[in-house]
Amino acid sequence: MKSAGGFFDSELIARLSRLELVAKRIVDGFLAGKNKSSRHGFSVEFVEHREYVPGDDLRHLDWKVLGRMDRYYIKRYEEETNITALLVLDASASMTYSSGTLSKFEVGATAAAALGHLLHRQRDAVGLAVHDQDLKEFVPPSAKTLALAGIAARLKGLEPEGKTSMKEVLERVSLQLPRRCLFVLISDFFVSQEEIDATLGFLRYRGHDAVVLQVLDPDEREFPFESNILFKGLEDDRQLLTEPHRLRERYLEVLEGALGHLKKSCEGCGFDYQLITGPEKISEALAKLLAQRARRRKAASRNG
Amino acid sequence: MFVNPLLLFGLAMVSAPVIIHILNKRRYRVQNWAAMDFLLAAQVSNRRRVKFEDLILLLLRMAIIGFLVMAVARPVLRGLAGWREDSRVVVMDDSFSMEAVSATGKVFDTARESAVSQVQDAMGGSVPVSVWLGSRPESLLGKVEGQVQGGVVTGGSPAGTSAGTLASLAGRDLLDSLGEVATSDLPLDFPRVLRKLIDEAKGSAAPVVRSVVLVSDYRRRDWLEEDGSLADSLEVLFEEIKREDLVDSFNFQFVDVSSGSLDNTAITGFSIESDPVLAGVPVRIAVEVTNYGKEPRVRVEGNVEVGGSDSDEFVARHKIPLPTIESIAPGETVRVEIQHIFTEGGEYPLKAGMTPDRLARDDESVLVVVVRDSMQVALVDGAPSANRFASESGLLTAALSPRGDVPSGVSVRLVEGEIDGKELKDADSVFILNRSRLSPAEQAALGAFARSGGGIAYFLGNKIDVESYLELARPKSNFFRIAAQPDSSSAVGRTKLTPMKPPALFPAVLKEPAPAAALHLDFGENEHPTLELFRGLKNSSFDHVIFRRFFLLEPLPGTEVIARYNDELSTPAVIEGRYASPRADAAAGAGKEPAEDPAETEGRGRIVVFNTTADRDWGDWPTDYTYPILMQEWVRYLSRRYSLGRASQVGDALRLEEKPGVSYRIELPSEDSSSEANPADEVLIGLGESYRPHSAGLFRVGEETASGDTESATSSWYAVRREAGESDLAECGEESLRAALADTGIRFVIGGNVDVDAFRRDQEGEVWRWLALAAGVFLLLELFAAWWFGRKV
Repeated sequence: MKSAGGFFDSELIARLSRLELVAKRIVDGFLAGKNKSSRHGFSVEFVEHREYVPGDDLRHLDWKVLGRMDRYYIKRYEEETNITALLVLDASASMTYSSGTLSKFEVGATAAAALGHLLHRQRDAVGLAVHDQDLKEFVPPSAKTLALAGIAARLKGLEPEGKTSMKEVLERVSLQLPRRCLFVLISDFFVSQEEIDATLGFLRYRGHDAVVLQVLDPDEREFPFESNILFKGLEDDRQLLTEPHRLRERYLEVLEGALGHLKKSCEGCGFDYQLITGPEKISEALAKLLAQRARRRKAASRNG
Repeated sequence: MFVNPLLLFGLAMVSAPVIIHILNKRRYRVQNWAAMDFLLAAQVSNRRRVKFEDLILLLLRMAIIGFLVMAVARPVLRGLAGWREDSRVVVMDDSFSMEAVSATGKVFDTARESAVSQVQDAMGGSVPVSVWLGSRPESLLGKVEGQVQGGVVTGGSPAGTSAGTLASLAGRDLLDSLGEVATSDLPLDFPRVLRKLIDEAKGSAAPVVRSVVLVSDYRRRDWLEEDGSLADSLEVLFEEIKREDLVDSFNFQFVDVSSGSLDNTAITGFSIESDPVLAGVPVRIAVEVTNYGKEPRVRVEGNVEVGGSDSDEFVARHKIPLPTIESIAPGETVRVEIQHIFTEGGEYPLKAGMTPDRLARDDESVLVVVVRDSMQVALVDGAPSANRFASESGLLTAALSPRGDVPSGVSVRLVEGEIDGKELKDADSVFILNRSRLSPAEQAALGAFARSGGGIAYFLGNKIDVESYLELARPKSNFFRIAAQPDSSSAVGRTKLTPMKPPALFPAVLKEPAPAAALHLDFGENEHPTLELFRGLKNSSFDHVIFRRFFLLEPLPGTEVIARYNDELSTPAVIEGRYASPRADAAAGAGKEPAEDPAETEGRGRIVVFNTTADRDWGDWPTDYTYPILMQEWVRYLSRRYSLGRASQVGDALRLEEKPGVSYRIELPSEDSSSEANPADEVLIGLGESYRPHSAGLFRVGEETASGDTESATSSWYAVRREAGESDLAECGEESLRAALADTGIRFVIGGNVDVDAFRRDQEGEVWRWLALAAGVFLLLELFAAWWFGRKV
């Protein structure tokens, strides 16, 4: 595990700061900002007209339309709000795998810290949830300056262990969140497809936005083994003695299938998905993620 | 069938890929892994494919090893074009020379070990094997056909009916026979073995390759001519192999078990100077010793043992030392003589011996001396008279057996009446004096007498019927003579009767009596043995003898004129002929002894014509002092040769007289070590049979009558001796043999450690090339499959 400040790679943050993290969906926010609220408020951006009905606030009556057309229309505005983001980091045993200098957990933590810092700079509220099959650490979202330091402190000293269970953890966490927010799910997602679907469906059902960052080790992505190897499971007692080069092709097929399924599930729920394979790919992956969200925001703007 | 069956044990290597696979499974490293779900999912769907691939690769690798091992073992498949059945023919040289002892032991023992090894090797490969003895090729020593399990010859119940069991029993018998066989005293006769094998190959429709392994000491005289070329007897046979397109049917392996040329000295001659030997008359006994080595042999000592005449076994009565031979140069033969007097008539077995060397058996020799009390002469007088000083028989009797204290050694008996077998039974010679004619019965009796070696002398006279004597000189009727079959199937052979024209009983064609005149004898330069006493005084000794009448006559071809009259025509006065068949005549004309017919060599069958009378009717000679001298010499000259008939060479038939109703019981020499070659103690020979001994020594032969009359049965000694040249142990050498065989075109190898089956390399019917090709193809398949299955190549 890196030092407390280690997860906040200054170079990485500098590169990411040129981009904007824009939520695709409108979420409720405490702070005015660049994120649009899901509620039609009364801010600066006009959205649509609708006919006046008794009870409407007359402040929102469009007097110009009344003067020209002698009809009562209420003006509706889109309100720019701050988002509430929760960084959900998987700390199960499978995240301990490492083929190089950093484990998957460390890569995930680095990515989480970078995103937290970026959100905090946008004055968004950022929280942290660390879990395996249970919730191990929880930092409620906050826009305060000290919130970021709190997150860093919680990441420090964590030892991944146990199995992965996402849905139950997120159900518990969502109860503690007052409104819809942005979930940043950072995990290797080595869980069943049913659980993935259930987890993402749950978030979608509750109206949350989500960014899925899947962290894999280069070994897991390329499977470069040759000689006879006894593979031992990190989360359970399963093991397999095999000639890996003879399984490689099929393994990669299965892996691609799982990745494809996750990506498709994310698209189905309208969530962003990005794969990080190793520490060298963190900045590239986050950059892609932010660019991806920026394109979606523009597209959403064009669609009205 | 495999050329190298032992290499099939290499098939165990087929399991190597499986073992390597199992060992590889046990060597691995441990890797903690997160994505076990994906890995297990991949493995589940891959499991059957991987197992299938593993199985294919294992099978391919096992097949590669299997093919390679099979290729090295070199199988020969039946049914392929050009395939030939294997057959091993082991020829073990059991000739006399193999008895030599080299620095490593007896040469024959080495040969036996090599032959046993060859037989076991053949049986191990389930190859039919037969064993021949090189000096006795008339019959097989043994043969094993069929399959022998694993080449292990084990015991078994004779009741077993399986081919393997029978083969095992035959194999055991064969190996037992090999273990017991001993050398003979015969020379190597490989040409006869080869002759049989060629005949067998020519008569066999089945494609068979005979791998002929000759285990021998390869003496030069058996293989090479003087100029170093291959012996003619072998060259002819190898030519025949080539001519008859049998080259592919024979592989020859020449295994030399000798350890180089050995020095050897041998007794090559053992003889008496004169035959017949008379009791009380000194006889010289000669022993010849030859040095066949490369170094001089010095101080050779020896002796002659004289056995008793009255014993059925050899018991030395006298031991006479031979003069010491100071030195015998290489290749030289030295003759030493002793003198001995046999005091009584009878048969005496003799043994000569000298200091033994590396080949001890030829350092002794045997001889049988038949001693006569006197020579028996039968007189047939055509004009008998009571006045013994006037009659022909009377004057001749006085000349041959004069009265006085000193016996002449000649007994005379007058034949009165018809001449028949009984009258001539004990006679050595018969003198026919002025007999007008001879009846057919008398001619038959005289013919039998002459054939048995008796001598006939004619004196002419005025009673002679010219026509009758012309018939004696030109016989018309055929008769049957008995000849031994040369190629008998065993030591005991059958004889057959062959129609022949009878020889002439009178060696000249008479014409008519010549007019009276006073003539003398002229011996010219003739060195006839009967004239030896007169030496250079032959003519002068006879100058005073006057001959007044004689017959004009013409000698038959093949006869010899000993003396002539000094008339204008130089009419023959003494003519010597021989009662012999035309074949014998031809042999005599070519200057060779007719050795084939025992009757012609045992005795002499000499016939002499004195062209005058035995009395004083036609001359003065019967009353001259030269007359008894010359007549006694002629009696000695015409007499049978008794001792010669008792000596024969190993491999030749014993000279046993054909007597109706008489069979011979031959006791084999028990003392002689060579008797191992003939396991039986005695052999019974009936009428029409002959016996050819394989070993040298003294043989005791007893006569048995069909009626079982044992009282009249007699026993005789026979001496059987080795061929002198067999003692020459000079080897021909591998290079010389190779050079001599190079042009024959046969397939051969020389050497003891060479596997004769190496010939199979180039033999059709072998499939090792196909197996090697298959191994190569399977190797390529394995490489491709390993690559295809994702293996590291």
